[in-house]
Amino acid sequence: MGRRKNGNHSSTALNGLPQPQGSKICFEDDDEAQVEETTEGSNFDESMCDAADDSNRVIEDTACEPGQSFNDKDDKTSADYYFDSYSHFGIHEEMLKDTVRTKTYQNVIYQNKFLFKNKVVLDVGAGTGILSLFCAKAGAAHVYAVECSHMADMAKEIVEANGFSNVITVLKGKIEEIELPVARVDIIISEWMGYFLLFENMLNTVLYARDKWLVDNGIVLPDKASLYLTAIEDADYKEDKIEFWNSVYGFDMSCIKKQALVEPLVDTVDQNQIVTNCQLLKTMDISKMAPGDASFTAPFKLVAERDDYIHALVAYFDVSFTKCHKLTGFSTGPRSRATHWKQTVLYLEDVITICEGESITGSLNVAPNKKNPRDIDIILKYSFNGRRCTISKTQHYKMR
Amino acid sequence: MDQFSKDLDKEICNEEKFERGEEDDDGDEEQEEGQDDWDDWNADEEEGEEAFDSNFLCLFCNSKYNHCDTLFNHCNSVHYFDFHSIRRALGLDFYGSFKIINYIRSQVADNRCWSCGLSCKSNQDLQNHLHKILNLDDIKALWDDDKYLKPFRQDDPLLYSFIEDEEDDDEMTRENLPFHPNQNKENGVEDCSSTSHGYLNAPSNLEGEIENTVKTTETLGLKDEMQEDIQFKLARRNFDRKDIKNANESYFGSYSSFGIHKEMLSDKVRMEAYMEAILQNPSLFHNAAVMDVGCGTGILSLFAAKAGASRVIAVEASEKMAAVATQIAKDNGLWWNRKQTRDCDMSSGTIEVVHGMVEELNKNIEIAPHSVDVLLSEWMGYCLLYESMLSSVLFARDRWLKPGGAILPDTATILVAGFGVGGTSLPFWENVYGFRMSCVGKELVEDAVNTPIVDIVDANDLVTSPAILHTFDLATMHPDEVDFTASTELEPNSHDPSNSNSVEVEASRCHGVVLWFETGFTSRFCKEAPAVLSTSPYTPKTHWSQTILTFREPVAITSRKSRTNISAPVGSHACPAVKVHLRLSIARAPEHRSIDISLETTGIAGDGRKHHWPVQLFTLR
Repeated sequence: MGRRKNGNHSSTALNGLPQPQGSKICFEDDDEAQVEETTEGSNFDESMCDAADDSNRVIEDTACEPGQSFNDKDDKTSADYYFDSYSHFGIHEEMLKDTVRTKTYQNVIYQNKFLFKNKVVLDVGAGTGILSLFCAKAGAAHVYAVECSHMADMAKEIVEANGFSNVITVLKGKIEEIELPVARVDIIISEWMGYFLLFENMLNTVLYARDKWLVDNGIVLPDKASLYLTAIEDADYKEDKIEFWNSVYGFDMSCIKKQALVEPLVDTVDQNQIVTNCQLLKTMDISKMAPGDASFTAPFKLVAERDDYIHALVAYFDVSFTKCHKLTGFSTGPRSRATHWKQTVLYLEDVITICEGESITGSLNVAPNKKNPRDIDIILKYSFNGRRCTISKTQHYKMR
Repeated sequence: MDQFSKDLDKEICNEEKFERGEEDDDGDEEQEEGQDDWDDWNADEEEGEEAFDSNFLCLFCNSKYNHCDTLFNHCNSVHYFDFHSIRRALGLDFYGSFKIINYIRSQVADNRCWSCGLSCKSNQDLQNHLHKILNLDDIKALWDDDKYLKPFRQDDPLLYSFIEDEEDDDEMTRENLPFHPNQNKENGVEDCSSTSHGYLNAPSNLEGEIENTVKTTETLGLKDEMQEDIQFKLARRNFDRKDIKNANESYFGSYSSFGIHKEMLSDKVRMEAYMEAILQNPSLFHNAAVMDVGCGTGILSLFAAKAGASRVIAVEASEKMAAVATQIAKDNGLWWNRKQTRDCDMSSGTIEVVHGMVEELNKNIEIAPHSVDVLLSEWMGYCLLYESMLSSVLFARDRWLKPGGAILPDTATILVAGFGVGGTSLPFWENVYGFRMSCVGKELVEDAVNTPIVDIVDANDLVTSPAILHTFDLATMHPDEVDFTASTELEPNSHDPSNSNSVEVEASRCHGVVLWFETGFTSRFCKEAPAVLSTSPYTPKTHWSQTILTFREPVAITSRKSRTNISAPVGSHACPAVKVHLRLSIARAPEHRSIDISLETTGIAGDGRKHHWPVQLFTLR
């Protein structure tokens, strides 16, 4: 876990920036009952949120990206450190409070003790160590919790405070640089997913750990992640977010609008806004895939289920743990309970007037930006030839 | 369009083949354009790039060039290093290219031949030694190490210039990726001694491997599976994007100031207060000369123009934003075209955007002293004074505002209230899915006792009534009065009356104080419609949030005056304070635009006994 973090300089500002409507995280109650549902697998659910405008989130703390980490900035002042730690803890709090996310992991672990019994587990990007604690409680022989940020020190204290020091070893460092006391691990567990699944994620770190330490037939949790696309009616919000620039308190600032369209919006979408089917774009098998598989082009065909207008396409992902006794996982889709990942909204330049049964076809290309690989470039090509509307376009988006 | 649809359909049909035709080129070009546009807006962040242009240091000697192409030509002709050919031959992507440059620089620094590894005694020896590549296979793994993602030379412009010819790169990628088993059949793995002649068509060794594999597998009828495997191998060569991210972070900052303007313009509380003050007070603005200090997108100037101002001078220190404001004024027909006005006597707009600091304005524009009727600004920062432009506004006031002229807003007040445990995340960390994590909460408090937190506080989490700490009168204050010391007293909220009969009323614990501000557009100038902009926890949130100062230890407080334990210290649970006295100073720190806050807290018991806590110093930077 760990990711989504404000950049150093911006954290003050970002903390204070007005969160657009609905950006404060509001989870429904945490009662177990609801979570049980989640585990049933049939009811994949979730998504959460994060300040939609918090475009500068960086993954920094989590599991160790080479090159730069939380602690190796010598010139950091105590204030910088503080803001970092505040936003950092805040992010962990937010993720832990995302019960769809955390409870799913909890259920995966507690309800599948047979997987963990006497096994050696590696927790990649352990953060507070919560997943390691779950695993220890489920009977793991030993858990190595790797975390490269300052959070590792906290995790150590937490492990001690809960009496698991003999089972959990917290290692502070980057996965790519750390030495494990063991040559092989049986299970790798991680919560690496970012917005749009791939934004600033630590998937590659997990794959690195997999290739280096996982035994043959070892288990990666989660082991499947799928990205989906659908189309929504979103007149009000588009008006608010994009058309806003056409008339800012009566003044024309449309020269800024073009830029606004380029940025995918991370926000929650109401399921009633969905106009078409949901198309699977890409499934990743974490236990087998190569790092480069995260760049891809996928075709799609979205068929309207009613007469409506389409203002945006929406991407979201599912994650599943197929090695469980019963398929378990969660979805960050609009039809599921909200998670902090929310959904990713790609606004279209023009409105599509679509009739039931008509379809939008196209392709979505996803790749890291060449100039700044922490950003994701998305190229959306779509074409529509309906009774009331004809359109064909290529739009470029940049998650930044 | 129809062509496009067809291509698109084709693409969908051929999804597995990755057939990519001309339309992709178009797409890439468009993308480039898009990025260029974007860069306009972000010119500030990247302004360093141009400066580097004249500074391309040769990989091998001390020659410098203005352009990376010139540099690579030099490397090719003098040092037997043909970057583009090697890149093509090995199918190096961005990351591979990035690494080879850093690799070579590191080897040259050690006077070691980058291709054969021979150590030389000096750079001169090395230059004499450099030779054509003997075998591409031997060298291709040399720089395959993450450490070469780290720029060897600081601010090496070469590292982000070689990507300029991205199209080549794309073509290359395209050739490499999908499967054209027949296409390259004739091209075996070429002898690499001819590097300097270019390797336009030479497939990399891996491609050869693929061909072989494909052939074999076709025979075996296992084609699909094996192709997956090949894709796997190919993909492995793609670079770990996150690695590079860190390597590049210092080069390509991505903080967009545009985003801040969007936030500010979307801040309805802020916008509506200004809009009301300007548009609802027509007598103030009619035919007035207005100056807008720090205009940003120019929204306040637009309001002023709309309200009937005869001239609006919009001052903006950021060159980029000054350009944006000019464009927006033009787009709205409110830009003052000096030439047109003079020559044709045609009507034009009234807004003149001036780029520069207010303090240096006279360099750029002639404004008569004391000629401005209304001085307008949105200068407030976090905690009112952080990064605030208040002193610039006062400078402008003293120089250009007419005697008796209006300043909007004309008052600014800082308020304070105490918050309870709900304003902290301490309870959360007590029990996280059954585990104790209270050390995180402890750490948070330790950090917070000397650094203010800028965040939203819920009014329900306040445990005292609010109190005014200090008020600035912008019309009359002296510029050196920006730094101030003030005292106030906080009174605990009275307990819920429904609890008043309970045997023991829990004292609340005050964990710290929250600061916020209000600015007034009072009836002194806004006679028709005074307005207030409040950033309090009780009103809708703004982009300023509130500023949280955390006590070292919580202070127990109560609104009931009875029941005090004389022997217990004031502020403890046994003897809660009935009042909390605060003495608070805010001063601009020597460091640019940051502020220092000192906080002295005194608990006062019902019987008048006091307890002082040591002064706390906070820095907001």
